[in-house]
Amino acid sequence: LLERNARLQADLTSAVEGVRASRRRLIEATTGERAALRQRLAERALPAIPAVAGLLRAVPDHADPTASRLIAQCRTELEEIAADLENLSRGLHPRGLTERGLTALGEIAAACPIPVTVSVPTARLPAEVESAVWYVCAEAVANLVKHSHADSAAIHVEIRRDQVVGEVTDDGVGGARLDPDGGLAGLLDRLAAVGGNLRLTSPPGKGTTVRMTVPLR
Amino acid sequence: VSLVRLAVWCGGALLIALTAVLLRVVQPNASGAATHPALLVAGAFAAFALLTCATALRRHPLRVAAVVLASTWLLPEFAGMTALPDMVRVGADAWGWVLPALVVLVVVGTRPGGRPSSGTGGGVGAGVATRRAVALAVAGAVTAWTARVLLVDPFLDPDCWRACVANPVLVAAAPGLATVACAVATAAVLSALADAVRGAPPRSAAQGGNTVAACGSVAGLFLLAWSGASPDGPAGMTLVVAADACAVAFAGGLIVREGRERALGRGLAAVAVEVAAGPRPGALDAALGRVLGDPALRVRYWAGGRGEFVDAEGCPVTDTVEPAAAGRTTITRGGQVLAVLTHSARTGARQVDQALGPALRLALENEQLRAASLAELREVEASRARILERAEEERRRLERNLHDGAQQRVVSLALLLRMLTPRVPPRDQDLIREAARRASALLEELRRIARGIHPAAVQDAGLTGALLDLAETSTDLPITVSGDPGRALTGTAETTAFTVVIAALADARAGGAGAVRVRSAVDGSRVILDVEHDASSYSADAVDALLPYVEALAGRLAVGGACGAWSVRLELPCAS
Repeated sequence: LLERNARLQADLTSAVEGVRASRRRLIEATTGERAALRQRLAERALPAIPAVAGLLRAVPDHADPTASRLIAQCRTELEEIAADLENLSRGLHPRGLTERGLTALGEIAAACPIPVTVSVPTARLPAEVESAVWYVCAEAVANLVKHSHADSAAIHVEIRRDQVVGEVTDDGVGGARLDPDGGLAGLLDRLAAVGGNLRLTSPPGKGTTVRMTVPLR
Repeated sequence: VSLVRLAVWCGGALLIALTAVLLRVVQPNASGAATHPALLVAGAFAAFALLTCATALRRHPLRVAAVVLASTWLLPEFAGMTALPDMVRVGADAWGWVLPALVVLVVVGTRPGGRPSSGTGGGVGAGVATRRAVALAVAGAVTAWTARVLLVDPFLDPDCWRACVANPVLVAAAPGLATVACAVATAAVLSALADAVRGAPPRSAAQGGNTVAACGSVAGLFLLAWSGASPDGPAGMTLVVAADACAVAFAGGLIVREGRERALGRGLAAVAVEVAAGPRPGALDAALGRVLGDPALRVRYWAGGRGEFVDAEGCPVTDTVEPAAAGRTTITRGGQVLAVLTHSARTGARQVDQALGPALRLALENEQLRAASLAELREVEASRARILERAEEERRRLERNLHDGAQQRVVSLALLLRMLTPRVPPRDQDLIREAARRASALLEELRRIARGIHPAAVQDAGLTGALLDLAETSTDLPITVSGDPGRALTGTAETTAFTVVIAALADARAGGAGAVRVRSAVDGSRVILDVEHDASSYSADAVDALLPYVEALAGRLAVGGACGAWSVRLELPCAS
């Protein structure tokens, strides 16, 4: 009986490990898919825009005001398409993340309407850890821009012994909560897949801190 | 029922019956009248009850005392039998001082602390207390009886009513000394009784009643002995009947308790067999509930990894205390909470304690480990499902973004370019036409990307509809579609299946396939999708990249075959 119980238990434990590994692979697959999509947009869709713009530029000016107006409209359209696709690919996968690691968090700060100080380690970490930290930071910054009315914010990531500790803090109104349908809650599973966890501290009137830890194995 | 017990019972019963008959029929007592029939009936009834109890008790360490008590319950009556030798009559008369000590010994023997197997009551200390109580009771009985036999001559006692004969074994007539000795003996026996009651405080009304009955019986016997009242008088009669009635209640209570414990033991044995035969998850709840006669009993296991209680299947339990189950027993090991039993208030803590013998405790520990692992498995599976669902949502959002944003703008760009063409001089028209060509190429590319991100067609037309559509619009590669699984799959599974087919087609195109066949069918609770083609070489890169999605849906994906005959087989579970 003891032996059979031990075997059943071992089976269960390995089943849990199996699902855990499958969850990790799933996340890697979704990340890879987004990176591939971004690359495809960059290589096969975006080059068409400067090409069409170049062709339009090659058309000499005309006395026909309608033609000039149409060409101007085409240019506006092209700019809009370029902006749309840029936006789309930025949301898909951070360009710098693959190349520069977490220092690419500077991209988030640069695109943010309020000043964000960034201090991150330059050392490269496992790709899935980097992307988990990146997504949580990005989501936290997006949230604070939307809700906190903060004047400034900070992203701070450091490696402590065998874990990565990341913090996104702001000096806004606080009182934030983890909305179960919100973007941050959606990232909890992603963090859990790499063994990490997240804590939200947000006393009313005293700013918000999103703190995540991810073990480095 | 063992033969020895049966023999003991029969012997005791015979003795009691004989005594009763002798007392009633053969020998009137000293005062000239036979013992009052009511007294005789009550005494015989009490003696039978005590005898039955003595032979029924399984684990009573002082069973001998109980048997002696039952067999000699009527012995003092022999004091009045003039046919017997004086010595026997004096001894029988003094036996009235021994009976209360025997009752106390039976009480001591039934206290839980007296048993090494029980966890409650306090181990070694309880054993020492038990031994002291036994010693006190025995010493008291011997002292009183000896003092009465050796120091009292009933012949000289003006109040004697039964054995008013000269005492043949009298050492010295010293009634005062005998009274002191009897007082000391009474104190010793009462102290032993107090020890026994303190050692096992009653935990239920039934147990309390049983203790009260025993005390009443002891009190009645002592009062009778001390007062020396004749049972022919109303006071003596009342005392005798009270002692008898209390003895019947006491013995009856013990018999009922024994019966319940036996039923519990049988139930436990059955459960142990059941547990050994195969630990069915959740069987422990039902088994314990059945044994304790409490269908409301539930076992909630502690899942440490999740920080909450779960049932045997690992599902979280929110209502740890159900309204109907006021009772709650926490099971721990080494200070760690293992499980919480919720049961009706009727089920006592002692019963739960008793029901959880070593075998069931082991089973419980196993169940806890299992439940905690199952809870973790559920959680990780749910987390994986959420990731999949969110990825699916994300793709839908991206597809819509692309469709409503860039794609619409490229459409209007193409329109603008078409309007522009006749407005420019003919020498510049080639430039515009080239621009328009690039624009429609971009539109086509964006459409293809959008379809790759999220095949919206599947949602509208179903898997088969989308596959037929795919076959119709494929210009470079003939695709045959057969079979129709209907809408057996969930939305996410349908999309994934379609994405796998698209990936297989992309791989087939890359390998230079000339024809593709897609077959789908429902097999039991699974949908099977086969993609077969005749590519000369086949890498299956695109298909392999989708493996994690298939896994997350508890499906299977296999690629097989050789040059010219490849097949990709996808199995996905149907929507439940």
